[in-house]
Amino acid sequence: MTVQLDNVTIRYGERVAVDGITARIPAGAVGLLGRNGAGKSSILKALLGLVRPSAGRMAILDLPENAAPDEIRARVGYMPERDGHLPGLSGFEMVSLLGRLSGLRERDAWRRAHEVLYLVGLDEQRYRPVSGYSTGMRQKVKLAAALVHDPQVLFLDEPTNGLDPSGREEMLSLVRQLSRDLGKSVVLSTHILQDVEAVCDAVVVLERGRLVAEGPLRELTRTTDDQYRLQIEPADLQLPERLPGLELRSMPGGGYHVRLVAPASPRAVFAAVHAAGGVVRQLERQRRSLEDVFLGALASGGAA
Amino acid sequence: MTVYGLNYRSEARQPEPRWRRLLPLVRLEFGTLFRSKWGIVAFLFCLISALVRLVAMLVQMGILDFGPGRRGSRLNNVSRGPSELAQFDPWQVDFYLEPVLQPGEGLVPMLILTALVTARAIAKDRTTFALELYWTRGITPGGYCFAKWVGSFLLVALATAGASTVLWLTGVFIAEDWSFLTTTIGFAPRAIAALLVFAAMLTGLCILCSAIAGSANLAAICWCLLLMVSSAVGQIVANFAGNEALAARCSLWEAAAVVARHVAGVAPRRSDLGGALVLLGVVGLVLGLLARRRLRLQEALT
Repeated sequence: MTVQLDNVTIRYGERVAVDGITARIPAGAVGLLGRNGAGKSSILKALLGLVRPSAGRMAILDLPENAAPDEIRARVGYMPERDGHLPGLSGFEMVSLLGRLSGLRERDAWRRAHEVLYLVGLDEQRYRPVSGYSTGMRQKVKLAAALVHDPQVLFLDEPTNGLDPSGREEMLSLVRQLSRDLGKSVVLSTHILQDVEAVCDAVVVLERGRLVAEGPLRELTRTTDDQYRLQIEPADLQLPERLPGLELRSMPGGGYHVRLVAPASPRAVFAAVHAAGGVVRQLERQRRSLEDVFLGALASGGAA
Repeated sequence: MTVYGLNYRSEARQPEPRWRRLLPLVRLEFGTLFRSKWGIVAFLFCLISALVRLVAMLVQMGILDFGPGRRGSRLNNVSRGPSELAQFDPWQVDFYLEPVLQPGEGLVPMLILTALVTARAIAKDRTTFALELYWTRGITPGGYCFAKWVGSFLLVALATAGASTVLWLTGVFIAEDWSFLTTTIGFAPRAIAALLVFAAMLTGLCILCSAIAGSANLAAICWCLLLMVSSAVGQIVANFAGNEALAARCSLWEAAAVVARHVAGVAPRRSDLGGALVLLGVVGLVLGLLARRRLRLQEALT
């Protein structure tokens, strides 16, 4: 278990940013998903000891609940969402300085800065001032800074913000590498579903400070037993929306979305199409996309 | 574990103690001005007064001789005791102290150094969102501010107390005998300590301005206005009331100078140490409370 939240509430004055969340974030790559203002960044800041929860308990790794913030930060790397940099410094100077502030000795910080900058692909540009970096390079230098002290857990807050498609793919591939090849636990806070699908093994969905879904991605997006995609021949054959044991909805690209109403079986679909004078060309179980999970969770406001 | 194939390896080490983590920040702040050629030019400009005094010292000790006559010490020709030329007499405390404390000579270099370094120290980090990067490391916001202050204080102290120390040591080593040392040892170390206190007070107030301001330029402008306007007000009040001591109750510069002169043991009897301390304390307290509010984690990071 990387992070455990028990009934955590975070307030900024009167505004409740996180409202009594209880969640378990496992090791591996986990997506912290939610719209802007859902409370993702607040949870990360509270875990880093920057914001104090007004109620609830939090535990990270095997550290005690009352662990000092710098004890936590020694084992956690944080890549902030905002485009921050240390003015006047080169990429190498910035990463090595932040390494020293994390407790590395000077020589170690230098060595680590070279290594992580090489890892993120900034080896050629490391002596250039960060203020002259492109957005993609700045994101990479922030990732290098989060890695410099070799943390066990990485909190990445919107790491693909402002990146073009190739930069985004590069960043996601780096995050995948960190999680799968280097064994880092990664908490990826984002509102971009594709990023989570590309990288994460599990997901925690937040909406307006509340937990609305959590679990392994594979389980949340598993195939459903009662929902199917149907293609028929002839393609323009019209089927009624309601048939005994079936609910049908025509899909924009052609074909139908079919929901079986218990105790109907897929045989009922064949019978209905045959009765309408057509034949079934394709009938396959539907896999829920993360978008379906996300929208479903937001709509229901409860656990998916 | 070494993972060179992936260009990454784990780091097993004992973390450095907290106070040592602040040293790179101190060094960064101290070196800010020296990272650009214009910064170096600005620093050298602030040393002009010290260079003039160095030339005066070399002339008086006979190292530089511009006129006819024998080469050697002219010490015997210099009258001792208070005089208008005391600032150019290495045997007097004013030589080390007054060029820094007098607004006419010391204000401009101090404004340049504090506006370029101290006032920008925290404000520029706020503008570039660097606070979030710093405070998610193993240092506290208090430690961060302290390190920023120490770094900029050391830079200002180098140009003020450091320059005076170099002048004094130069005098000790180029004097014909130890009489210079025996004469000046009574006041020179205290004068240098006074300059350190003076630099510490002004950089302390300035760093609080930096913590409050929303941008580096705004911090520099506010600090310059605070120092100059309060000096002008102090001068006007003192002239109007016909009491020089009143300036220390209105002018931050004068107040810090009065405290410094007391530390050096050369304050005039009528100087208002209490008023100076009250002014510095009140301004420091107000700025400190505002800075504390502005540097709350929640406010600084959101």
